[in-house]
Order: sequence, then C-alpha cells, then structure tokens
Amino acid sequence: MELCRGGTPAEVRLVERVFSREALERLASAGLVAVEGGVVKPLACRGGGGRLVLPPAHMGYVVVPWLKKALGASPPLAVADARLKGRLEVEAVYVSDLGEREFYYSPYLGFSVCSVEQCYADVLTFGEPGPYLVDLVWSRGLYDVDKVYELAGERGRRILAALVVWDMVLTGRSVSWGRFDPYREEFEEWLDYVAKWATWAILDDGGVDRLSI
Amino acid sequence: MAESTASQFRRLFSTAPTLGEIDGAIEALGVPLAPHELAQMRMDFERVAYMHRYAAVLGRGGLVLGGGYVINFLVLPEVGEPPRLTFDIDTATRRATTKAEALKQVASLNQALIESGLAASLEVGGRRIYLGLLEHDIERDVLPFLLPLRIPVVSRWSGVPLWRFLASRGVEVRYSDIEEAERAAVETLGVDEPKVEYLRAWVSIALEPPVTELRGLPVSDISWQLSLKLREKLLRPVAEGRVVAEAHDMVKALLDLRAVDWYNLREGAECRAVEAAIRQTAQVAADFWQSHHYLLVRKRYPTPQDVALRVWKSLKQRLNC
Repeated sequence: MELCRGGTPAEVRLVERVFSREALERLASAGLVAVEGGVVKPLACRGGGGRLVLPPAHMGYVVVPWLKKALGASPPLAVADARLKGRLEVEAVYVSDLGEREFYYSPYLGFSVCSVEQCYADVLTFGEPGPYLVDLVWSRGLYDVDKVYELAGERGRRILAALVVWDMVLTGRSVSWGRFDPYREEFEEWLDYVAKWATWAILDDGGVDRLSI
Repeated sequence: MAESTASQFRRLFSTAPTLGEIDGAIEALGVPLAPHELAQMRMDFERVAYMHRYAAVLGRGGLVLGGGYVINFLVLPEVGEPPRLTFDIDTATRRATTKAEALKQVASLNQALIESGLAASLEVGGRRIYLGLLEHDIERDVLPFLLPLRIPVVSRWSGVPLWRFLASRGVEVRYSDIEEAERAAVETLGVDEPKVEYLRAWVSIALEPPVTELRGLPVSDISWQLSLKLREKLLRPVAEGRVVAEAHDMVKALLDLRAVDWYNLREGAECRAVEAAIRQTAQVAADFWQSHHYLLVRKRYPTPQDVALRVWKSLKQRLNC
C-alpha cells in the first residue's frame, strides 16, 4: 500500500532540511510523520476499524502551505475522492473532480501532496486562509497567481480577489498580481476578512502606523 | 477567446470624455475665448469633464462633496459667474470613521467604476493594469484625518505618455503594443500619443459636515463652506501673520466667496478684519493671477482688485458692515 511506503535515509534527511524542527514536531503531533532519534519516518498505515489516516496516494492528497514550509497553525487538511467519505481520520474535503487537480506522490513524506498553486487554491477554497494570506502577499514571485485563481473554487476566487483588490487600494497601484481581473468577483463580503489578516503584511515596515491605517 | 490588444486599447481610450463633451462644457460657460485660450481650456476641461463623472460616482457612493469643486463647478456657473479652475475633488464621510474603513469604501467604489465603464483594464506584459480607478495616494498620506486619493485617467494633451506610466507601474510593453495603442488612440481620442493624467480626490474622515443636496448630489452645506473659507482661509492667515505662506489659498478663497451673493453666511465676522484680509489678498494675488486656473475669471475681473471690490461689496451686505 502506498501509504505504507517510507523514505530512504537520504530522502528522510531531505525532509529534515525542507521542514523546520518546529514544523516537523507539528507534523508528528498531527500524526503525519514519526520522529525517532532525530530521524523522520513517514508514517505507515495507522488507524483502526478499517479507517485510513490519509487518503491513498492516488485517491487524494494533503494540503501543504508550501510557502511557509510547514503545515501551519491549522490541523492538516486532506482533499480526497468522494468514495473515501467516512473512511479517513484526517479532516478532509471530498471531491468528485480529483483528476482535474494538481497533486503528486511525495516519496519524502510518504503521501500525496498538492502543487503550491493547488494547495493555496484549496486553502482559500476550503480552509481558514487568514494565517496564510501573508504567504501569498510576501511570496508573489514564487507561485503562479493566475493558476491559483484558476484552480480555486468560488469562495477561494472571491477571497483571492479581495486580497488583490485590498493590496491595490492600500498601496495605490492598480495593477493586478497577474492577468486575472479581481473586480470580476464578488469580493466585498471578504474585504473585512482580508483587511484583518493581511493589512500588516501589505503595509509592512511600519506602514500601518505611518499612514494611520 | 482573449480580447485583442487593439480592442483593449480602444476600450481603455473610450473611457476618456469625448471632444464634444469637452467643447460643450466650455461653450456652456458662454465665455468668448481666443484660439490659444481655447486650446488651454480644452486641456483643462478634459479634466473637468472627468471630475463631473467622478464627483457623481463619489456622491452616489455615499461621500459628501465639498470645497472648490462644488463652489466653482456646481454653484458659480449656475449664477453666471465664471469658475476658477480646480482639479481636486474634496469629499468627506458623513460620520467620522477610520482610514481603513474609508479605503474599503474605495474598493467598492472601484467595482462600481468598472461596472459603469468609467474605468477599464488592460492585460499587457502578463499583468492586468487599470486606469480610472481610485487609488490611495500613499506619498501624500501624511495627515491622520485626511485620506488622499488619486485617479490615473486617459488624457489627450496633459500627463505622461501611456507607456511611461505603464513602466512606472512595472508593466513593460513591446513596441508592437505601442503601435497598436497609437492606432487606437488616433481612432478614439484623435491624438497619436495617449497620455495618463492624475485627478486628485481627498476624503476627510473626521469632518462630519452638515449635508445638503445640490443637483441630486450630497454636498457640504454651502453657507457652512463659505463661512469656513472666510474664517480659516482669509481671516486666520492674516491674524497669524501667514499671508505670504498661505497666499494662494487666500486667493482661491476670495474667488469662492463670490458665492455669498446667493448663500448666506453661518457666522458673523468683524468688518474691519474682513476688509483688511480682502485688501491683502488682492495684493498678493498678482503672483497667481496669470495662471490658466484663472483664465475664465480674468475675462470678467481683469485684476485681483476688481474681484476684491466685488466680494467686499457682497460681504458688507451679508455682515451688515
């Protein structure tokens, strides 16, 4: 079973380099990896009563906010094929369009994960995106924002649009982050939310105080 | 299918006022102009035409209009007085608020601007850039209770070339795009070098002015505005010995006070002080009088003394001097 596949020692060391010690501890406490004597061991099958911890590699993936290089503050979220409903221990969103999503098996982690753009599209669409908006603001050169927009669902597109509009209004530069048009979305209901989470990140370096925002 | 670059440019340029709109606004004033004056007024009234559009959007969006725009373009022309030209739109929120809340209102107004076709975007160089939207003028944001906004708009005659503006926003265009833009500009604007000009708007977030309605728009009560101008822009600089530093604001206030013939004042003032302030304003006005901002006013009042006499006569009546 793919879930049970572990990494080679070299792969395990790579995982340690990619993830901070703090992040690994969070992964371990979430039951996604085992850390023994400083060595990371991707978890094999766990859970009881025929339930799976994570979806099998071809039937779903774990959403990793890559730009923060950690699973972050929220519990891990999986996106899984609707046929797995009721069979996963991890918090999951069940979908019927898995084939249209960007994910791949990670031998380092021992389970499937989404691409950077798919992961942020899912965080925006299904999760609590507030803590991760700073990733989108500060790492704009590291991902394709048009792809995030394309891969996101309606909620995700609206939150992304609100974030881009808020960034444009605050900084006084009406240039979208990519080719997509945020003003086509019904973003207004999310303005308060993105203002609360992202204003400090957009106006960094004391801008909030300097401009009395 | 993606919209072609030429079509996008045409849509962008069609946000500009038409030549008919501009000439119509000038002719409506009924002021005879020499050809070189008409050329200058066309340049100015392109911006004035934009201001009329944006003032309507801001007013309908819940902001209260005030200041020089209201007095010079909504009040004085109605009574046959030529306006001094001003290119700022002063506004205020109805209730005291924060800049963050006012900026959220700006985001909503921007969506309305796009939906109404007053603003448009261009997808070029892998980015989407907008013209005609309200922007936070971050460089001018220095006062805690005043939110400065700017609006980059398509212009025929003034401002920076479009490609220069795009480059300043981090959007590089290819030469073939520039050629497309020039062709579209000739077709829609009648000029071959489209430009981008800034309009300015200011939102006072703590003023809470008394509100009335003028031409269907919410405006700060005109009598209240005139009293404020008399007290803060004419009398205070004289009392504080700041006539040189505030000379231009005093000249503008003097010209705006022509409206006292039709609107009462909300508060009294000491006659001698008013007379002295008007006299001093007329003296310092010479430095500004030849500016194109006062071209229309000069047609009726050749010298600052002429307008000073006219305003003093009106104020004497209002103040029972």
